[in-house]
Parts: sequence; C-alpha cells; structure tokens
Amino acid sequence: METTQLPDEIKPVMENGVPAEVSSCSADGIPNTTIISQVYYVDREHVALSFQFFNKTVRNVRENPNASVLLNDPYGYACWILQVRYDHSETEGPIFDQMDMQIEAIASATGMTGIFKLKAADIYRVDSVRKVTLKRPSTDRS
Amino acid sequence: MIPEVIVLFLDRAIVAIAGTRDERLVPHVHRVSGWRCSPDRKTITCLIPEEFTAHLVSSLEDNGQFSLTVCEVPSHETYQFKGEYVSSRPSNEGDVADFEICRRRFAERVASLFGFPKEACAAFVPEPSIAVTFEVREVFVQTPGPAAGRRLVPREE
Amino acid sequence: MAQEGQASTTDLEERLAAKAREVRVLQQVSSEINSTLDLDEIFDVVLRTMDELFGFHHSMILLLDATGETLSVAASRGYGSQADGATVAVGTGLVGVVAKKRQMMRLGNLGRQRAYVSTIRQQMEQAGRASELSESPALPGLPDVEGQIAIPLQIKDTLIGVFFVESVEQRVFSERDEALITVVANQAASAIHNARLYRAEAERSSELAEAHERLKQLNETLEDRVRERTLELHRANRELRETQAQLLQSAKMAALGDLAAGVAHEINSPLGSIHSNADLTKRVAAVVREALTDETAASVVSRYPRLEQALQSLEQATATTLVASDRIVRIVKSLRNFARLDEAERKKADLHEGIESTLTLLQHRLKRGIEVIRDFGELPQLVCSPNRMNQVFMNLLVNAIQAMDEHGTITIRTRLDGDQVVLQFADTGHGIPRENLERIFDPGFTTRGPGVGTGLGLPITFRIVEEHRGSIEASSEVGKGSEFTIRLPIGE
Repeated sequence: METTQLPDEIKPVMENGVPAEVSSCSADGIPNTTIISQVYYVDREHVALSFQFFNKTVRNVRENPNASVLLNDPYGYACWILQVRYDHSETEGPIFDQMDMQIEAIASATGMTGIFKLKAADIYRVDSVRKVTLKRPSTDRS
Repeated sequence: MIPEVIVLFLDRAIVAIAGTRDERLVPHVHRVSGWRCSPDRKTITCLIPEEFTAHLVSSLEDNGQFSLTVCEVPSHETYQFKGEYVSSRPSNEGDVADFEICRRRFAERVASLFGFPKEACAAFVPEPSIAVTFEVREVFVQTPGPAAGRRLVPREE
Repeated sequence: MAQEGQASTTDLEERLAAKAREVRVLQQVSSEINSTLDLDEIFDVVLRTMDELFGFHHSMILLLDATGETLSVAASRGYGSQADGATVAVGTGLVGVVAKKRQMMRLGNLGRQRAYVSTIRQQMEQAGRASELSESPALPGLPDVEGQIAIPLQIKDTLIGVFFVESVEQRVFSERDEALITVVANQAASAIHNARLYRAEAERSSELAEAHERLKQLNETLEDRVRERTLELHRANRELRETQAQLLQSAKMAALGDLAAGVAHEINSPLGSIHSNADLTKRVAAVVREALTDETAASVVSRYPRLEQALQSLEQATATTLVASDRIVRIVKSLRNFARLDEAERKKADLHEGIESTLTLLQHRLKRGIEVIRDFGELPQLVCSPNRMNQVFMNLLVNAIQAMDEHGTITIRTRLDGDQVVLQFADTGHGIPRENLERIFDPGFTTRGPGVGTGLGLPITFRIVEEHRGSIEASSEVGKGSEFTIRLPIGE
C-alpha cells in the first residue's frame, strides 16, 4: 500500500542501523545507487540525509531533486521504498544539530574527528511511501 | 571489460542494489537477490525479486540506463557498475541456482557477523522473478574512504 | 474477529501491566534517591536501578569539573576499577558531545559503525593519510558495544554531568528506554545537586564550628595571656630601670672618673714639687743638724740660743709635710685607681687593691667612729672589670657605713674557696628586717625614705656580680648587722 506520509512504524526502521540505499539521477539521465548509513526522520513528510562529502548523490539531487530510498527492516521482514524529492539544505537548527551531534559523537569516538564532519542536513520531501513485506521463514514463530 | 579482480570480488560480495530512472528522470531502486558476470566480463545479469520490480522494465525500456552497486560486508568494499540495458526475462533454474549461492553467502556472513539465525537472514533475500542483463560501461570504487567515487573503468586520467 | 479482539485486549493488558511496573519502579527509585543526601548512596541507587531493574549492566555517572572542560567518572557499574578516575573532555565522544550540546543522544549498531570506520581508516592509511586520523577518547567502555545512551544531568540551565549507559546487545535502547532513563537521570541530577549543596553547607558549618571553637579557646586563654603579658611587661620594665640605673651609674662613674683623672692630673705636679721640696728640706735639716753637732759650731749655737728650737721646728714641719704629701699621693692614686677609666675592659686585677682604693676614698667617713677589719686571704688576680668591681666595693661599703650611722665595725674577709674567690663585707649596723631582705636587690627598693638615695646601689651591685658570673647573697639580723657574700669564679 502506498501512502504519502511516513507512518509511525517506520521510525524504528530508520533507527535500526541497517544501511539504506539511495538511488538518484543526474540531469542527463544516468542513475546512481549508493549505500548509506542512516536516513533521518524529520517529520511525517520529510526525511534528511547527511551531507558529509561531495558525492554523486549530492550532485545529482541538486540537478535533479528526485530520489528513491530503500529502507531495510530485517527484524520485521520488510523493506520500505520512499520516493523523495530534495527540498533544501540546513546548516543549523534542530535537525542539523541532532545529526551533527550523532556524527560528532561517532567521529570523536572512532578517531575520525574532522573526517566525519556534517556539512549540511539535506532535507527531502516525501512523495510516496511503500512497504514491501517479505515472506517470513517457516522457522520464524513471531 | 570488468577487471578480473572485480569479478572475483563479485563472488564474495553479499549485498547488491540496482537503480533505474523513468521518463520523468525519477529514479527507482531495486533489491538484487543474485548476480553473475558473463564469461567475457562485459555484462552482468541481476536477479531481482518480484517485490522490487516496480518501474524496472518500463524504465529500462524507456532509456536503458542501469546502475548496480555491490557491497561486501564487513569490509565495506563496494563497487558501482553503470551501463546499458541489454535484456530481461523471467528467471530460470540457472538463475535460481545463482541466487541460492548469493543468498547462502549473505545468510552465512550476516549470521556470523550479527548472530541472527541463518534462516531469518536468508528470508531477507527473496527469490528472484526476473533476470536483467546489462552491459557494463563504467565501474566506480564506492568503498567508503578517500577513493570513493573514483572511476576504475575506464581508468581515470 | 473475536480472537483478534481477545488478542488485542491481552496485548493491551500486557502493555498496561508493563506500564504499571515501570511507574512502580520509577516511584521506588525516586523514593530511594530522595531519601539520602549522601552522594555515593545516590550514585549507587541510580546505577543499581539501571542494572537490576532495567537490565543495563554497564553504566556511569560523570560529573563536570570546576573548569567546565572535563568530565570525570564519579561512579560506575560493570567496569570494575577500570573506570575509576577516568576523564573525557567536553566535546569528545558521545559523552563529551552530549555535555557540549546539552542534549541526550542514543547511538545504536555501533559494531557495524566500528567496522565501517575501520574500513575508512584502513583506506586512509593505505592512501598515506594516516596523519589525519585522531586517537579515540580514553573513556573506558565495552570493546564490543552495540548501543549507547547518554543523558545530560542538568539543574535548570546548569550542566552538572552526564549519565551514560551502554550495552553489547543490539536494539537494546528503545524510545521507551530513553524515556525511562531520562526520568531517572533527571531525578539523579536533582538529588546530586541537593547532595552537593548539603555537603557544601556541612563543610561550611564544620568550618564555622571549628572557628567558633578556636575563638572560644582563644577567649579562655586570653585572660591567662593578658596576665602573662602583664608580668612580662613588669619584668621588662624592671630590667629597663635596672639598665637605666646601670647606665646612669656608669655615666656617674665615668664623670667621676673624669673628675678624678682631672684632679689627679692637676694635683700631681704641685704635689710632686711639694713632696720633693719637703724631702729636700728634710735632708737639709739633717745636714744642719749634723753641722751643729760639730765642736766648731758650738760657739755659733751659743750665740744663737733659738737655733736648736728652730731646727727642731723645721724638722717637725718637714716630717708633717712629707706625711701629708704622702697622704695626698695615696689619695690621688686611689682616685685614679678607683676611676680606672682606661680599664673598663676585662683584665686581671688585684681585688685587694680595688678594696683598698675604695677604702681610701671613704677615709673621711670611716675615721670618725668606724673600725675596718681586714681579713685578707691569698687571692689570685682575677679576670674582671676592675672599674665595675670597684663600684661593687663602693656600694657595699657605703651601705655599711650608712647602716651603722657612722659608728661600728666593718669586717672585710677574702679567701679562695676551690675555684671561687669569696669576698665578705660585714657590718654591725641596725640590720635588715627579714621581709625586706628578699627585696634589697630590687631596683627602687629603699628603706631610707623618698629623696634619700636611689635604691639602686644593690641592684647594680647584683648586676655587676652577675656579669662576672658570680653570685651575691645577703644575710642579716635586726639590731646586729648584715653580711654580704660575693662569690666569683676564677676561670673565664
């Protein structure tokens, strides 16, 4: 079922630490797929991706704002596909601060201070949300 | 042509994701359950489950652009392959055999790394319904680190 | 449908039960935390609650130091002594970042993050960029940690520390866990703040009590000290008066010495003339006498009947003149001897000579009715200040003369007793009453009424004897007389 808003049940999926995948497309039509650490929940209609390094995704969405995000919920035997659209970047504010805090915490705890540095929080508007339910194994009793 | 070392990499990678885009330049993401490289190392066939085929064929038939990102865990060694759509067909027994290899590899690796039951891990890699072949035009390093984004094929000047 | 309804009711009941348990636990924790003002007990309650009630076996409470730049582990559970005294800078690691931003944070899937970071580190090292990497912070933790949560401990806007919990289990900290831990952390912050205030207050009270006790003791001893001080002042005053008297005496003696020296000097020449002329006259008279005994001089003697008488008068006058001038010589010598201006420093001196000189100077007072008996032993020459010793002899003899109202006997005995010289001055005066005997060496003590003497003679005598490392004692019997015994060591 497809919705246009993020349901509550997607929040823990966004925090489960399993990598997500993002597909973007350049203005000249070449798709790009990348694996990312985390997609951040902003509100029912927005998500955020961290902009730390200048990469293809960052370049693509600034040319062509459309993107597709795949969230993995192995615990729930499900995936979530979000069609999103890059809206704007934030370099301050509560979203940026929360993301910055997290990245700073991990960076300083792992000796990556200065290397992991949040340049901006890229805010995306959610166009659609689709849950893909996978078949549970026969041994699973949950 | 895909370098030999990358072909060997494909035999130990465990996660793959494909990207297409439609006529409106809206990208779509597709989980890939299995993959194999052609003997001439020019094409890769991706095995995609039914659940992740939305906009797949229509996009490919519209513009033929295909990207495949493959990752190995726990090293995070990652490569992205970009190229043109060649063909697609429903998956056959041979495809299923390739898929089983990939799935088993995924399940064993994830189970050993994170302590989940193998069956649960395996269930996260659904059986494919379609096999998509594309010709590889470019190969990029996507391993996190200073070299991420560097193009391997064709070699950067 | 019914089954579904039943399932949802059961689920609801379970959730309610869980919620009720949580509330009870929180109430219990709150009660325990707030029942104590002891910091260590508060820490123990918080960490024990995390462990026993919530199943979080590894937790720490870190407190911010006075500089606001470092957090130190105040208490920990699950780390043994590893965490004792550990510190982390504000801004470093999860704990430091939470302290810096004053916001709680939850991190998960740290195992995967570690692997991810490890890949990057390897890549960077291979690319020769290892110098860009920094060291991980030193705060001890679980090596295979998966989840961490850190909550700032704040009172109003003041950060007092961070509460930190971690686990090796994946997916261990949910939003609900976060909420529970936050409640406990807020309670802990309040309790820690109160405990610290209480401790500061207790320390201050203790300091005040100590200060009060010291003041009390000070007051109690103040009276004693005032009394002591007064006595000290009296002693100092007496010493000052003695010194002043000594100085005065010395000045007098110096003046006297000057005078004596001057007089002696002036007298010496004419005295010399008188003595030598008298001597000459005596010899001339002897020659004349001899001449007159010759037969040839008999006719001259018969023609001048008064010649014999004249010669006899001349011989007598000459003899008297010689005796008188001898006497003057002795007096002048005594004066010079007594003054001994050039002999203030210590030297070997004959004490008998000093006594005799003094007696000579007092001759005019002694001759009228006072007998002086000398019982002198064999005395070695004593290293002393002759000038000062003469003062002593003068003081004692003058006192003796005054005590006898110019009639009586003064006995002076000297002897050697071992390594001491003993000098005794005894008189047959009216004596000193027992009650006064103790005070005779006190400056200013006098029995002779105001304006008669200074009462300083004996104190000065005492001081001079002391200077010579000797001793002086007085004994007396009213109506019979007094005796002063001086002992002086021979050796220097």
